[in-house]
Amino acid sequence: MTKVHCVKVCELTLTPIIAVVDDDLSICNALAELLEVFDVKCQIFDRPEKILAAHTRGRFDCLITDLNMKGMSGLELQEKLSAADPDLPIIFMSAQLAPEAKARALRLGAVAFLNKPISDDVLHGHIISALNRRSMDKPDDLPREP
Amino acid sequence: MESVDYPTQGGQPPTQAAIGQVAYWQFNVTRARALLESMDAACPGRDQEWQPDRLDMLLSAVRILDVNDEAIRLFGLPADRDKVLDRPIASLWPEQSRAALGDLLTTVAASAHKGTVAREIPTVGRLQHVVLTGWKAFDPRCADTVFVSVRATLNAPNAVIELEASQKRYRNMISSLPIPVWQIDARPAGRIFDRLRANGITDMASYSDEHPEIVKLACDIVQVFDVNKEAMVLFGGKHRSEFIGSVKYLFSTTPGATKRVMLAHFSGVRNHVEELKVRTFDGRLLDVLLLMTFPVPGERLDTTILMMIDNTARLEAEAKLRKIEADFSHAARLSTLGEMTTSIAHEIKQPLSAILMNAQTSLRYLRRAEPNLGKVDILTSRVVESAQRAGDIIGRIQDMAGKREATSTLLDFNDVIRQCVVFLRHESEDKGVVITTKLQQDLPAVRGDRIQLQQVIVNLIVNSIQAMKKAPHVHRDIYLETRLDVNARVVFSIRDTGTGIPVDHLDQIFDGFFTTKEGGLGIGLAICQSIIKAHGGEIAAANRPEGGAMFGFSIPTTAMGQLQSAQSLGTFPERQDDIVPRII
Ligand SMILES: Nc1ncnc2c1ncn2[C@@H]1O[C@H](COP(=O)(O)OP(=O)(O)O)[C@@H](O)[C@H]1O
Ligand SMILES: [Mg+2]
Repeated sequence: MTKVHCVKVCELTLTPIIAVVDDDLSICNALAELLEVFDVKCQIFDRPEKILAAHTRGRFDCLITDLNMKGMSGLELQEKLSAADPDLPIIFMSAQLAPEAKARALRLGAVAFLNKPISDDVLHGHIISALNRRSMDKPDDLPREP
Repeated sequence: MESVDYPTQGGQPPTQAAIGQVAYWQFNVTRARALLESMDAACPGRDQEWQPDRLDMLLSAVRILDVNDEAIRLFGLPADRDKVLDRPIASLWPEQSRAALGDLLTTVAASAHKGTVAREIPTVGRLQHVVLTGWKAFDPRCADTVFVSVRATLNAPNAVIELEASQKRYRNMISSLPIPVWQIDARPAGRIFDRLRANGITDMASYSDEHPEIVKLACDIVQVFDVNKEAMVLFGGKHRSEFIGSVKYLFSTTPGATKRVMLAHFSGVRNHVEELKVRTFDGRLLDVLLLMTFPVPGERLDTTILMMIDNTARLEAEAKLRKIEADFSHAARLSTLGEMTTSIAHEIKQPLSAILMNAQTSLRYLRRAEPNLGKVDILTSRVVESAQRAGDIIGRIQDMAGKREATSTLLDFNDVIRQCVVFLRHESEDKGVVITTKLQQDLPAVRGDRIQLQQVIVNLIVNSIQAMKKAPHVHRDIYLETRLDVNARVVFSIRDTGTGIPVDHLDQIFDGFFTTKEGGLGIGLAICQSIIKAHGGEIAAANRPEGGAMFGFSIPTTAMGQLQSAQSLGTFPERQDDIVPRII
């Protein structure tokens, strides 16, 4: 890792904001607490439609979403959001073993596909790499290292 | 035709030794006397042709006094001797040998001596070299009584072979029958019955009640004379001799069996069938089906066939089946559960995930240099909440999966439905099905078993979801509705936009194990029906005109008691409300 890169991570950890989408409010709340202890800001949405309404390009640095939700699946949400915000890193969570959905999500660029229950360390690792990726992909960013 | 006179030869009519092979007839010729005498005068040379109506007149005037069993068998007479006695011989004597009998009777009547007169006929039916022998009664008081014996002289090799062959075939047939067979000689009982009938006894049932010894007697004198291998195997006997003798050992284990068999025999039925318990020679107790065939004329009257079919295996299978039926509802619940494992896993993993995350967060706060106890407090109470939720879910599943006695409590029916919808939420969303409910407010309480009713509703919803698999995504709708009908019954209906039910399946879908699904068990609806019946209701299925199926049931509510008393006062019109819910 280069020096530049390191600086960026430090700089970003102060500001990034993560969107959490799960139709189970107890999960949303638990995630919010965990992100808080990670020192990451977040906004929770208990319905996928709500984030679609709230989202604008670049507003969130990362999205953590459930796969099976009332009204709309995580995959559909991924499709819709990546049309509006192609670089948004997405982490999926699922209570079901869904190999097909997993393959599809990763093919479409998801950062990770985690099975519930989720380990905090694993999640932390993925959040770090997601935020890293986001910082590199930001349009106003410095050119990426070869 | 040749007539042979044996004026004194032998002197005696054939006796005991020949019984069983020779048919005996005993005639009364009183009314024929005039004819016989005139004929004797008219036709001294007996080789003359008979004028048909003369022969007819003669034979119509000769009455039967008695016959033996062999005569009944050989001439195919009714087994019931009463039906033969006092009848004219004309209708019962075979056509081919009527002239011979006419000759014989004429000759006997004319003969002054007490010897026998014989006539030989080449063939009668299957028999060859038939010899008719006639003689007058020795007792002068019975001057009009004539005896005729019929003997087939079996010196024609063909007939011997044929007869022997047929007897052998019969023996082989019996011994090689794949079921246990006893051969019984029931004639001794038949003779007792004849005597009783002669004494005017017709109601054998009450007679044997008054004289129980008759049952015992009949049982003692009716004898088994042969059994086949299967019978020996069934009874675990080693030697045929163990089986020969009184039939007592066949009936003694089943109270009343001897009497029922005897009554059947007395009544003259052809067959008697009943279920027996028998004790075998090696001490086993078996359930068997007894089949008895009493002989009719033309068959060997000395042979009553008794067969047994071992039912023990079948009854054991039935007992097992009853057990299976009891497990049936258990299986139905499990199959519903099986269909929903994904749903269940999802349901449990949600609170589990929340628990884990909150606990992990708490640990992070606790491990800080300055632990944030306020946070830990909040997070720990959330852990408790989620753990309770997980416990509830597991409890619900255990209720559904576990064998349990039905309980009866007062239930808010709408609440029952809401819980089902929650339970199936993920399953239905997974399959792109939208469930819409329209529940009538303030329904009176229903008395019943919550788990069972939920099972019915879950089954119906799962069926609807499965029926919509192939429907385009926009058309996967389930409508659940409750309302109260005029009889104060709760009516539940479910409608879907699935395939519908082929008309010719409509009356089969509630049958156990009827399924059109690969891997389907076909017990969902059967169990629904039994649960609804147990709740005093009825369930029915129909197709919706606009496509898709609908199922509905109605069950009584606690408001019904009041309503019924009102109805009996004539306040409400008597009306049977529709069971299949209306389409709204
Ligand atoms: N909603 C429905 N739409 C169409 N057919 C149905 C519906 N519900 C039940 N059936 C028919 O009834 C049969 C029996 O259903 P069920 O007793 O639940 O057994 P299973 O679901 O295991 O087949 C099904 O196989 C199907 O053919
Ligand atoms: Mg079913």
